Parts: sequence; structure tokens; C-alpha cells
Amino acid sequence: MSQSSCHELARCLSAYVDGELEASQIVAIEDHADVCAACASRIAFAKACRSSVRNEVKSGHVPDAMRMRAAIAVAQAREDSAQNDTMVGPNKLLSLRIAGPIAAAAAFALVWAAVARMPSRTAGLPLDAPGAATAAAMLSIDSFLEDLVEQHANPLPPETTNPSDVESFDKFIGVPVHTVSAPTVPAFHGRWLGGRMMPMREQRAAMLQYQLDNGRRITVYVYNPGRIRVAASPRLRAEVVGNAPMYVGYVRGYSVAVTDKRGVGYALASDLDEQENSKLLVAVGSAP
Amino acid sequence: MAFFSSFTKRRPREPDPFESSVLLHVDSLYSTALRMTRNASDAEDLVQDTLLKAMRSRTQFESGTNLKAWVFKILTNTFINRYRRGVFERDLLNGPDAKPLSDAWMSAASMQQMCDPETHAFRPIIEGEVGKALNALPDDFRLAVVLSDVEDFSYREISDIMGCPIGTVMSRLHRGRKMLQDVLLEHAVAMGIVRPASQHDASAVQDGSAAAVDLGEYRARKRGAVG
Repeated sequence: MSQSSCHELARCLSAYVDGELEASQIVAIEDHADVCAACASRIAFAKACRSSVRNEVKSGHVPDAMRMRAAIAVAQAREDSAQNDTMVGPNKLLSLRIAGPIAAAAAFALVWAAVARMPSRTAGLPLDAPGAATAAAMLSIDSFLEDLVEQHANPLPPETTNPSDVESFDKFIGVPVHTVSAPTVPAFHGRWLGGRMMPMREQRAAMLQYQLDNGRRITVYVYNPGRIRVAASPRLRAEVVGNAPMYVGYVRGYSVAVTDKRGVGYALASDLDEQENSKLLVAVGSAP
Repeated sequence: MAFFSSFTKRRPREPDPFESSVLLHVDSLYSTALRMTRNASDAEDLVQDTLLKAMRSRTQFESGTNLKAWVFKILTNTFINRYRRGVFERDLLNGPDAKPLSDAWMSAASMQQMCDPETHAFRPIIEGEVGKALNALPDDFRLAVVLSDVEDFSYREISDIMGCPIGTVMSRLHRGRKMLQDVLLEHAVAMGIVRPASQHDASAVQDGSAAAVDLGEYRARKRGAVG
């Protein structure tokens, strides 16, 4: 083991576990950890610390009273802006005129609380965050995956092959798609083929297509997790890859992996094996 | 019939996407607020204030940017203004910045003994202490750790949310985690999970290239020299 690499790792360990390093630096660190048991323990310890903090903070339930207050606060602010009244504080007595909508909001909050409790907790996956408030407008995980795999198997041609065009996708999706627009995915030696918008019922996703140097294709959907909510499906299992919690599995013979990171959803289909597939998703999701 | 028709006609309101997107973050806002205030009723007040402010200033939100980071920035500012008189309180001479951090690594053996290889987290007996250890951190360290570890914000987003440079974010994260881990190590030793002798690695890699400087000692020397 080389001492200078241990020093390098000491310097970058936080940035590494926080997903702030570039792919080439990640590869260098992982190569070193493969041959240095002490550094492998250091990495495992730093990741364990992150996971335990997350488990601890996420372990509490949001009280129903909080959900109700949240819905009421939002309803009240909406009414305030409708009345163009900027002098209203949170403790203002309710007038009869706005009591109705607020009662409706309270009822909504109760339903929300009930719905949010239903799914069982799975290892603090961000995908499981409750809030199926607009469930009616959301897509089921199965039709989402079917669509992804269908596009991977029989892809539509890209609408654009110019990376700078991808910025214009942002406003249709509502999340910064362009942050992954030119993911050269250097660790995997691939190139970007192009991208297009994909309508999905009332929602949309951005499709980005890549080809690896070994000829394999990968298809990435970037979606807005606020609008397309991916929940547990019997076809997928929850897994933690690197530091990223994700759902992985096979659909119609293709590997798929789904995760969301920092408010942006990523889903990836390929004919690679499951492990490679999920590693790729981590690389795409952490592109600068 | 007239009753029903007036009821349905009155408010043909479409669900507002901004409202539903903001409400999606209530769980995260509340768990972070609970760590900021360390008190459930203050946390509820804080989230309510945050939502009201977010709704009132919704025109300032640039669509296409990260809504969650924007709402968390409002949460942080509301917390600082309401509970911390506009700044994160920090006693530079006696506060946590003055205490030198040991830069030595724990021994690899201690690290392994504290981790659970199956869950990729600390062993339950250690994890049970994380809440207490987290609450003992200074506000700004604790917030940086929660924003990074729990909410997965990038350094750039945390620097924007907390209103400080990225370098400060990194140092808060580093010091916060180190303090947290030191407390947990003490607990592990007290519980007999880690042997006291194996706490620190003799051949430890130092974090910085220079030896750790004892700030308190330096200041005491300086004060002595002046006085």
C-alpha cells in the first residue's frame, strides 16, 4: 500500500462519501481501497456514519398535527394572496370566508397522513418519502418501467444531439435535466447519442441515450420525482449501491435501476448485468 | 339539488403544482427542523412559518431550479432569524472551534468493531447514541451534517442554503462528523465494544500535512506574551 494514496484518501474521504468527486477520482480511490484494507475500513466507517445519521434523523414520524398545520398554512397563504392581503400573520383569527377551504385542507391532511403511513419503511429510501398527495396524477411504477424498457428495446431517434439543447428540457420537466446532459460517464468509456422529451400520460420525462465503447446501449430517463412518484414494486428490490439507495431489478430481460438524488429522478435501462447497471446509475446521478 | 350545484360550482380550483411540490417536502423539512430546534413544538412552528414564507414569496422561485433547496434556504433563514438572532452563535475563544481536533484516525480495528457489515451502518448499540451525539453538536455543524447525510444536498447547495462559502461547508462537515465520531467512539469504549488501547492507530495518517496545531494553547501563549 502506498502511503501517499492513504494521504490522498484522507484528504478526499468526505468528498468521496458525499458524492462530490469526479468519476476519475472515484475510480482512483476505489482502486486504492481494493489493495489497502485500512482505507477500506475507513471508507466503510465513513459510510456507516452517514447511514446511521440518516437512519436516526429519518426514524421519527411526522405527527398528523404537523401535516394538518402544513396543509392549513398553504391553504391560508393561498387565500391571503387571493385577497391580496399582506398583513396576515400565522396567528390571525380565521374569518368565515376562509374557514371553508381550510377545513377542506384539514380533511386533505388527514387523508394524506393515512396514505403516507401505508407503505412500509425500506432502509430510508428517498423514493419512499410519503406525500402521495396528487396520487391521481401520478404514474404507476410498472407503466413507468414498461415505457423505459420499451424505449430501450425499440428506441425512438433522438430529437437532439446537441448537449446545449438539453437545457431547454429543464422547463418541461421542472428539474435540472441539463446537469446530466453531457455525462460522458468517463469511468465507463461511453458517448452520448442524443436525447428527447418523452410524454407519459400527463407527465413527461427526458430520455438520454448513450453507447458504451463495447457497443452496449444504455437509456436514461430523467424525471421529476415530485410528479412521477416511484414506489416499491414486486419486480424491484431496494439496494444501497455506493451511498445511493435505489431500486434495482429486471424488466423483460433488461436490467433497470431507479433512484432519486437531490430532487431529480433517474431511471436507467441496459442489457448489462444488474451490478454494472446500478454502478452506472450512480455515475450518471452524480455527474457534476 | 340547488344546494349541490352551488357547492360544486363555487370553487372549480385545479390542484396547484407549486403547492403540491412544496407539500412533498414537509417530511424532510420537519425532520430537519426537529434537529435544528431539538423540540417538537418549535419544529412545527418553524415548518409552518417556512411554508407560509415559501407560499408568499413563490414568485421569487425560478422554475427549473431546485425547489427543495429553495425551501430549505427559507427554513434555515427562518430558524436563524427566529432562534439565533440572525447569526449562528459561535464563541470563538471557548466554543468548539477553539478545541483542537485530534487528526489521528481511529484504528481500523475500532472502526470495524463499531460497524455492522450487514446494514452498512453502525451497530444498533452505537446507532442508538447517534441522536444524542448529533444534538450535542453546535447548530451549524449539526445542520451541515443533516443537510448532507440525510437530505443529500451537494456542497454547493448547502453553501447556498446556509449562506456560507463551500470551504466553510466542508470544514463544518469535517469537524461535525469528527466530533460525532469521537463521542460514539467513547460510547463504544464504555460499552466494551472497542478496547481502549486500540482506539488510535499508531501508524495513523494525519489529516493535514502539518501537525495539528493546538489553537487554545497558542492563544494562551499569545495572551501570556501580551499580558
